[in-house]
Amino acid sequence: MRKSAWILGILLLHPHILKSQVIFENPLSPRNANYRMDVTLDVEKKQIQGHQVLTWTNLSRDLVQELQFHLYLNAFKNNRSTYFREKDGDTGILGEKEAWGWIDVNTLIVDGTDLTDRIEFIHPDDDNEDDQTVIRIPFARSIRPGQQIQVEMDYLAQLPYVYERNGYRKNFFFAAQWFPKIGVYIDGAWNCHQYHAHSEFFADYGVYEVSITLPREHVVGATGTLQHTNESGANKTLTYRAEDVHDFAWTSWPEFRVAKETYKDVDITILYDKDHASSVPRYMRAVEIDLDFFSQWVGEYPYPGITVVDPPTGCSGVSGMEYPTLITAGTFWSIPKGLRFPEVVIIHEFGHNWWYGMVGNNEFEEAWLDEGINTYTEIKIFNTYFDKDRSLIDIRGIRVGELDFNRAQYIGITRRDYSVKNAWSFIGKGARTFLYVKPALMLLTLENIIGQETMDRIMRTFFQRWKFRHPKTQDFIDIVNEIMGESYDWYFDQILKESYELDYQVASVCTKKVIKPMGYFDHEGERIVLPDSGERQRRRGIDYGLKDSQNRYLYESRVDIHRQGEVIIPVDVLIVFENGDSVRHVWDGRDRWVRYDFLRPTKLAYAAVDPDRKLLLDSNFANNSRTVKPQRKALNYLNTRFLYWFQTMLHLFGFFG
Amino acid sequence: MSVFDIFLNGIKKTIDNLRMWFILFGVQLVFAIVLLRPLGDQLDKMLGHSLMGQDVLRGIGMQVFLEFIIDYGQSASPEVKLIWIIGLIYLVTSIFFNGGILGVFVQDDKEFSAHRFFGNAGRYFGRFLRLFLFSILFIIAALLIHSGLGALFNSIAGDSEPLRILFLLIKTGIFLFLLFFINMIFDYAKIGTVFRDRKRMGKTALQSWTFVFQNLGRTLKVYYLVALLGLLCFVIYSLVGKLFGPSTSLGILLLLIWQQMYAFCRIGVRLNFFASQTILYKELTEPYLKAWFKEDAT
Repeated sequence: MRKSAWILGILLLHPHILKSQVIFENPLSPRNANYRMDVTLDVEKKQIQGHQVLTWTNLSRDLVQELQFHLYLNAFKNNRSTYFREKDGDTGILGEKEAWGWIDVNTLIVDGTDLTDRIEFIHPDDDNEDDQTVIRIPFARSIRPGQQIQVEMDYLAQLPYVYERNGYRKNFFFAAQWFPKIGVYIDGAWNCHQYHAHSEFFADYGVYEVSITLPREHVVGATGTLQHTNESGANKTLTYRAEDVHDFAWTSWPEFRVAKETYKDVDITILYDKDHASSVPRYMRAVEIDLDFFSQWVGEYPYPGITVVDPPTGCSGVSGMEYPTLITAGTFWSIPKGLRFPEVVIIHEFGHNWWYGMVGNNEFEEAWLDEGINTYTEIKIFNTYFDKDRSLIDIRGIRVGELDFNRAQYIGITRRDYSVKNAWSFIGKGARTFLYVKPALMLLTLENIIGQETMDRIMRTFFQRWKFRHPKTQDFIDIVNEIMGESYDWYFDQILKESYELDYQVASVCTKKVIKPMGYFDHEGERIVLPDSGERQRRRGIDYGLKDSQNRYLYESRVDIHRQGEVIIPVDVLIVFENGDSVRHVWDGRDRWVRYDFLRPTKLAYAAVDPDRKLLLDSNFANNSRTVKPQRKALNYLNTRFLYWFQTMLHLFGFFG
Repeated sequence: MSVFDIFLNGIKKTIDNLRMWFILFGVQLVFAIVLLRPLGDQLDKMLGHSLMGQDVLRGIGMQVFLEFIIDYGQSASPEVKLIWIIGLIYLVTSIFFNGGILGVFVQDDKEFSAHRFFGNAGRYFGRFLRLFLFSILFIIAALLIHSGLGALFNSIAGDSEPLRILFLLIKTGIFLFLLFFINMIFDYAKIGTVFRDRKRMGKTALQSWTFVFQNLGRTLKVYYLVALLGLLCFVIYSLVGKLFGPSTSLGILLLLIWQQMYAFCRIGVRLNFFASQTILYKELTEPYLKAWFKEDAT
């Protein structure tokens, strides 16, 4: 046993053996954008000196005439970048601290030809000449379909002070969107968008082999698996390998504490600030929940590990972000258990390793596909693993469910925008509402309509068919149509592609005893005037229709249902009578209103549209039901509460008088 | 008299003036009902015939609250304005009543009469209003100290989150202490005004600072003893209040009664501040007053 350990040690130290080990025997993805990088972190200057060799394969059928790269870090170069313009010039403390970030490509060689002087900045999304987040390199010759090229680059990246998603603070570093990254050649053109304030990213899959040199006291976390460590003097070089991923992020901080666990053959590593130690078991549990849920639902997590980075105090700008096999968390010291924000961040961000990581949609153009589906997943997980009505907040009588929390962000602005559009072209909180929440509610509503089992089949098929590929909206809809055996385009057209509102309302209910007939009636060839006196009625034997065969009084009841919004969707209508009888109808919702009339020996109690609350997109649940009798109890309770709160407020006002 | 005796006498004095207590409670209730009216109408519109109200009764009313806030919040600016306007009117009304309250407590040998109460309220209103404006200056100073402490504490705490949170609590504690201290000082300024019929309010305010600092131990003890009574009332209210759920009409009725009882007691506590502090003021200043009157007579 000891001898074999020695031999293994010698083998591992031998330079030829120091090659990275293959993770997947069979590639999971096309691997057409593979990077080998050697980077050095200058902790004083907060800079990364990098050398990278990109091996890129033209997967298209086109002759490609140029290359395009993202230089995302230039978004932080000045306040005129598209990123900051979209943030209305709000640069936080970057300007004050002279802590801008940028990246310079100093050398660019394609298959041995130096093309550095051909680099030019382009602005495919706007005409902002000050934005330097995309470059193109035109060629004299073309890259043929299936041809592989090598692009060698030297670059210097200056990290900004922590602002959003990346940066440094003191000796903490978070490198994300930090290296020159090739765009995606798709649909006959380069898809290489600028860095936007409300957009995330898009890239091809590949293998990343990254060697990071930095001071040896730094604790490092990165995408992929650590292959080996070389220590030399005050520095060390860590080599990571990640396969079948489309991005690479890493972090370092000497004060990170490390917690490790293995669950379902996945190594979970948590790098955390000592002040957040109490959140570590919660992070761990949240990762395990995702691993459990996803593996049963759509598919296993194939990678050997996941790293959770809990940023130190003052670095919340990098919190709550997803990268392949690395996510960032968010918490604070002594956070109560009833506030499930650490869980929600982890469950969401780790969920992105399926929706974005493996199913690699274009987050610039169709972000709902990952954010919306991932939020849908997040709500499902919270409903499954926690008490639905208090899943997000359950503290001192304040209870908020994850679904309620999300729905609240939508119902006030239902008509403001639609979901299938570029992620940067929303205003206000529109991106959050229409990329995350509305699509999530749309999927939950669909699940309620078609049933969980069918919905699960849809999601599983979507994941399995499109993992390690770049699906579009129509690809998802096609799978729904395929599984359902009929077109559901009508559903997605209305909800995903239009700014329509869904709102059904019970407009009115009324019930009254059948009144005696009045006026002239022709009866057995004779014109009579009704109502008769009791005597004459008996004599004539006229049935006024006031009672049924069992001598019970009859009541005429009427229910009017309105469609207030534009969305047309079949909806259940429940009508309940005072004797407990009930009637259920399905209204197709095509007209603006529908009326139901009843003649029964009982009074109407209430009517409810969508009584099971299947249509979670409905913007107003309060008008989904209407009772004949006033509902005083809840009002009395609320008025009692509000009266007391107002008295308390007045007491405070008066106290200082 | 010991501080505890002063406190007990304060309670007795408050109970002796039950009519005044009811007047103040009634006024507060009327103001609150005025505020409730538009909100109640909106609630009635939303839930008056809706089954959604049952969620509230089942204790899962967050969806209702969120929907109400979102739907109603968009047109709630008149209500928010109303809260401010009514709040300010109530503040001015409180300033007005304080003269009446102190008039009753200072002349405790006479039986309560509404005529005397309102007469004193009107008599001291202008003076108390000026005192209130002076007190705002000190509240602003407290706010400045609060923000200054924030900067100092942040620099000491550095990146330590536990320290930051601890300092936040300390900072808030200091701020509340200052607010209560200012409140106490100006209570004595009002008492002094009524006792000595002072008219120069700036000078009175400064004299009340001197008075409090000269008798710091006893003034603080009396103040916090009464505050403790307020806290005790709140704890009892909170614990018992949990028993009255919204599931039955009786539960709602009991809740209403319980809340109103607490609101009534809370006003009693406020009266007890004045009553106890008046007794203390009298005890501490009476020998000087007597000596002063004697000197004056000779």
